[in-house]
Amino acid sequence: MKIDLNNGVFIEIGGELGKYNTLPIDILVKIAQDLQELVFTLAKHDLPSEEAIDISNFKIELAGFKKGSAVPKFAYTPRTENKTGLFWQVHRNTVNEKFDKLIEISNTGDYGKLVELYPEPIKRNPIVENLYSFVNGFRSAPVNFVDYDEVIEKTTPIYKINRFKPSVKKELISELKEITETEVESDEAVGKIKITKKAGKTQCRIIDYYSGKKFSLEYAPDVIVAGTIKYFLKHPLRCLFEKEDNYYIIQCEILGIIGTGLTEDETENSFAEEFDFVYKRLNSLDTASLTNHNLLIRNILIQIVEKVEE
Amino acid sequence: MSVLDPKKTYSNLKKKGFTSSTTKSVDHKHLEFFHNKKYILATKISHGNKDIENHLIKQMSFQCSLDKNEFIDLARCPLSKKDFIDILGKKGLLD
Repeated sequence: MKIDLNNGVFIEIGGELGKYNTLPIDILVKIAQDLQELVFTLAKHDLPSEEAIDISNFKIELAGFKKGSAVPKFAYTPRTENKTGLFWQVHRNTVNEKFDKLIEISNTGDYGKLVELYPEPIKRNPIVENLYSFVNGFRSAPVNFVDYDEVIEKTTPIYKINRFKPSVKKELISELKEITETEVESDEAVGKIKITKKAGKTQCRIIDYYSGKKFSLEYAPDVIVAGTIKYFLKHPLRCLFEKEDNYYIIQCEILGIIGTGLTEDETENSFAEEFDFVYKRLNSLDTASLTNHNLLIRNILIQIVEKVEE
Repeated sequence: MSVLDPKKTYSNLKKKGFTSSTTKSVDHKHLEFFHNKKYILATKISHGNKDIENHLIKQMSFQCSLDKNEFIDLARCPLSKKDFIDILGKKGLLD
């Protein structure tokens, strides 16, 4: 780390701007304001977000002015009211390290390196803006961060400030898009799917779909085959068909008959076996032995079965 | 995902008043439940030692007019015969 805002940094401004060993007030104010904004921005983005930061601790002051062109000196404020919190010195050091790196980049003139230092646009954008404003605020004057020897009153260049081209700045600034959190809603639906087979490849396309709350898939046999017995029905028996977890269900609510299985065929056979059992069992019992519910089921079964073949 | 032991389930359902059906099959049997000499329902249970898996629990619970958790309680014991009859009564299945 070659420059230190704790002890003060000297900025040597040459050329037309510094040739009288003075600085116009407006230029001095602009340089000071740009420098201050840059330091504040570093403090906002480079310090741990979980720690309380008092931004006033990073105020800078004009701490001196030397001749030899114009050489203002800026340093962190020495005022005690701006040294608050447990870690003010640690935080100042951290910010100074980053400041040193930025000026080192300016010395190389390769501002593209800012992408490596600040990969996240949310941090990089404001730092690029403020560094651009600071390093280009000296107009065309040659500017160096220098070491100043008080004894011999001589400056030694540390970092040269190179111009920050607008085109490079433009490349470094990324557009930030506000991401709005959208609520994820999930629902189930049933639908019609068009299946196309071409050259051994199967493609499925949804033709239409309907809410799973109101509509369901159905299994509607008009012949039920249970082993060697065939039940021929007057009308298709409309049953619910669905998949739950890893198994299938065929369920006829009104008859209280259910078949389940790990495959569609297994489920269909299971349903047929149950249909066969319920049909035979209810018809084997006399009416007095049946509840109203089972009587209803038996009557429906008698009504819908046209014939039974064995 | 729960599984039930077939032998314990069979034994516990018998204790709750289920009786073996006269209908027989090679791979399964039906247990029937009567109340006041009226046939109420029947459920299918497999022969053998293979665990009663999720899809069969679903089938048996529907056949017993219970939800899955209630049926597991019935099969494992916490749900008593009286509780079971109360549930069936509330659903109008005993009339």
